[in-house]
Amino acid sequence: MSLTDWLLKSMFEARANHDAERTRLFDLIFDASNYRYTHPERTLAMYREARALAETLAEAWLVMYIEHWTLQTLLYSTGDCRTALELAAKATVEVRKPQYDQLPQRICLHEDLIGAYLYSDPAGYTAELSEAFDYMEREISPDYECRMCLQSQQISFAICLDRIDEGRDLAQKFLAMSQKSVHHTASALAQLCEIAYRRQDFKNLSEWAVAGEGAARKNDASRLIAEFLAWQAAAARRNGDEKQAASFYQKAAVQAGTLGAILDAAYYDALCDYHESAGEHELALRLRERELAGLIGKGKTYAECQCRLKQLRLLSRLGRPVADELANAREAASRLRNPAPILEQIDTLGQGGLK
Amino acid sequence: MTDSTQHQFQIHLPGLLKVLAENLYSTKKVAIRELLQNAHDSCIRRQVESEGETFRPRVDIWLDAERRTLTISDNGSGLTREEIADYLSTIGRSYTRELGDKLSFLSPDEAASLIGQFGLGFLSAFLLASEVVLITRSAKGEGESLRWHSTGDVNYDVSPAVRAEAGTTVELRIKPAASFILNPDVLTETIQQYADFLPFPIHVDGSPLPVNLMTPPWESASPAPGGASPDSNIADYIARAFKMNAPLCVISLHDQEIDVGHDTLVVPLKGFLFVPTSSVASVREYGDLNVYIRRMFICEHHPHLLPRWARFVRGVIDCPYLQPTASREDIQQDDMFVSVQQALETQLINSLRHIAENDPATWKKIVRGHSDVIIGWAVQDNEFFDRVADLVAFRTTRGLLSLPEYLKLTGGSIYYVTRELGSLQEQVLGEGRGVPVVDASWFAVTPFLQKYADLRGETRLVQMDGDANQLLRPVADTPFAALLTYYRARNVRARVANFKPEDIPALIMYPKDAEFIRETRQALDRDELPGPIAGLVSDFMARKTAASEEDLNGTLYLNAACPLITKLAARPANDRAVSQALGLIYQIARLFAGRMMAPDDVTKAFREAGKAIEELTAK
Repeated sequence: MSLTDWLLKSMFEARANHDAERTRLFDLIFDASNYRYTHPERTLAMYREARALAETLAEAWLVMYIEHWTLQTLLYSTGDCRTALELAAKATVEVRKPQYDQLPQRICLHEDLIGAYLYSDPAGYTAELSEAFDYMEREISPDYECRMCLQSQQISFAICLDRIDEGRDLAQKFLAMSQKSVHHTASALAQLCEIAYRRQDFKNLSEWAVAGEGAARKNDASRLIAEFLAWQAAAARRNGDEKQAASFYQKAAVQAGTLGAILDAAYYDALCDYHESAGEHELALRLRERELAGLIGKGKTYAECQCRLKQLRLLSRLGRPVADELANAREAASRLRNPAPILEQIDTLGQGGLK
Repeated sequence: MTDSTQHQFQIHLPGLLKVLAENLYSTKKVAIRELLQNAHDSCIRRQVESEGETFRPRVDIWLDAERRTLTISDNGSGLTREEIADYLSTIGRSYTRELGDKLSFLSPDEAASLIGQFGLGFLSAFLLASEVVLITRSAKGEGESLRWHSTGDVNYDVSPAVRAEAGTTVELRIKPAASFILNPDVLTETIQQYADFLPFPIHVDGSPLPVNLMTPPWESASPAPGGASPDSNIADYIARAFKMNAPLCVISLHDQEIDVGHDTLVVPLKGFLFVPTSSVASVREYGDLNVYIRRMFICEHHPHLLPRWARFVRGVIDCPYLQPTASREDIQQDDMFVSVQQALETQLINSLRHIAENDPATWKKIVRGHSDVIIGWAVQDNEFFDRVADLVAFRTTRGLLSLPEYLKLTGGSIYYVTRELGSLQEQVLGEGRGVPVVDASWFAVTPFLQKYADLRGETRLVQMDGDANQLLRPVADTPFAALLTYYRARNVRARVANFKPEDIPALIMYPKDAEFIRETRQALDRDELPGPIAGLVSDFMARKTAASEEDLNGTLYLNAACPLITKLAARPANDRAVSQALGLIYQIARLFAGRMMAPDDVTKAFREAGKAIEELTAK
């Protein structure tokens, strides 16, 4: 029996037994997920409530199940790596206990801990993350769905470290693995778009984005729909189709407007490319500022540094003073475990290079 | 170049009927609604087309269980031979829609009262029937009587018939699978569900009284705007349709002007909203409406018409601007839908404001009966938050209090605990200083309090669990040096502070997450985590805390305000009874804290305490 089957069975049992507290617990768990992308704060609040109730009812497995989904919401909806890291560490320590040996979410919580490091400082923890991925590959059998989440994390890791060819190979493998799951197919296509963009391969970018939009719509993955529309806008403009590009841009912005969840760097990269390819640096700068506002204080230090570098480049191109932003970028870099490579780029930008 | 040829679509009627039965409609009963609606529109049409004639519309339904027939008869406009061919037998073409288009300029009121649109409704008769016979006589001209007959395949017959009066009679030969409709109770219930408020009498099996009410309660009643006590008709309707009694208030809907940017638009609204007595967040939230269009029931519990914060409100709406879907079991979410949403939100806000200003007792009941739902949604919506921020009541150590009531007692700070369990020590400390403590274990309370504090700059938030030493006032150690020396000799970190209640001689405070820190260190020491994962946890721990093992054992705070402590401090340092009392005080403080103790520690604490009591009482 899968965990979902077990949850549903437990929910029906609770209803049949008129067990109001457990019925409420399951209602909270299932209802919370409905708001993950539109109102993630509400989702988190409902998980907090569900967790407290599960603890009171001594439902240890459910407590850990809720922790996993809370972590997923923190990592992928609110982008709050700082809170995620603390919660993931606590949950990892908790699930080592024998009563969780058979809990499928045990391995997912390990993956969440890896995710918290991956999205906060991947370059600083390259060795540790590589070891952790090797360990997880040994732990998760190839037919287990978690394998796909792991694959996705490995692709993100490769992209962060600029290992683009490795990322492409992994992403193509991921796409092949994910054919039975439209959710994972959409994720694989999103990563292929990112890789195509890094390679400045706008033809493939456009194709992956169209396919991705279709998969994301089937899965009602609202955040990815915005991302794919943004990629299509960038690709269309690069391919000279201004009308189509403007239409995709507008659709992407409207779609993004429906989200309470923060958008990935990929979304901003796409829309900034749309502007920058037409020399609209001022508009790109505004987008970067918005991206930065969503990153500050969330513990996504590496992403914050990358965004600040892109912001500095735009300021330099616009001939604006950069002193304050240079200081902010240095401060952000100082929070990395290994700040030297980023500091070097900041210094180069400060001296007028790397435009 | 090849010549292109034009072809006509062919319709496979049995296939189409199967699609209708299995996909368009959710229940076979809708056939009754469609046929009653046709009868209604036919009567409206006769009213419009026969100027000056005295006309009393009436619909009769007859059941014949032996013959397995159900007959619906109206005295409306009937159909001519051409109309049978053009409308009744042409799928997708609706006479009513075309009549509505024609009338929309000349007689907008009549046009607005027509319901049919899609030209699909009559086909739904085959959801219930294997054979349909229609006998009709048009009110126009000489009024030829005709019989139309179909068994649901591609062919139909039209032949002369005899009918004295203008109107239409539809006889359905009921399929075995639809036998339920031959039960008079089921039929009556179905009529009342869909057509209770159609303005013409519907009689079943010749009963002298119609089975439908004809006038909706919200049109016959006249509750005051935002009136607390509902009209009895409305109360009966709420009890019947929503299975709820005694709502806290009922708000009558009326036409509402809304701003559409470049202009204003008046949205015609009928119906009412009401606030049930209570709700439970996520489990029993409401925010739903039963929807009628021109008095014809469309759907119940529609979740998207009311604003999303209004999860404590329910009601009924009848609005001609809403457009039904083809199945007429839902409404289209088009531009007009958005306008209706806006009109409803405006009217609901105005009415709630009216209640808050003119009927504070009812408003208080509303806010308190639905506080959890209101708190949860207020966090999401700034305008709604402003309306309820000072009215919502929170559970505190002194019962339910609104934030202004609470802040009067604390002078500007909000003390709260996030754990329902295990926060007794913090709550006692709070009460000791004369401040009630808010129970913020409910998920949305902390964000609500934070929002309140953010918007009202002078309000300070103090989370008590993990940080209760904010209520301790440091004092000079010197008078208590002997007591501190006693504890130091036993590896207990002790300090002196002034706190209330004075009856408590000592408390133990632990660092935040002390349990987690100790457990994680032990897990890492014992290699209980897989290697690479342990590396990440270990890194996290190294960055998170520098808490020493001594820190994790907690700090004992002796209460300088406690007469017992001052008496013990005044006794000679070598007094054996003082030592025994201090040992006892330490164990009591550990047990009261209820943290950082394994079962063995608890046993040991009781043993030590018992030993001290024994020695003290032996003297």
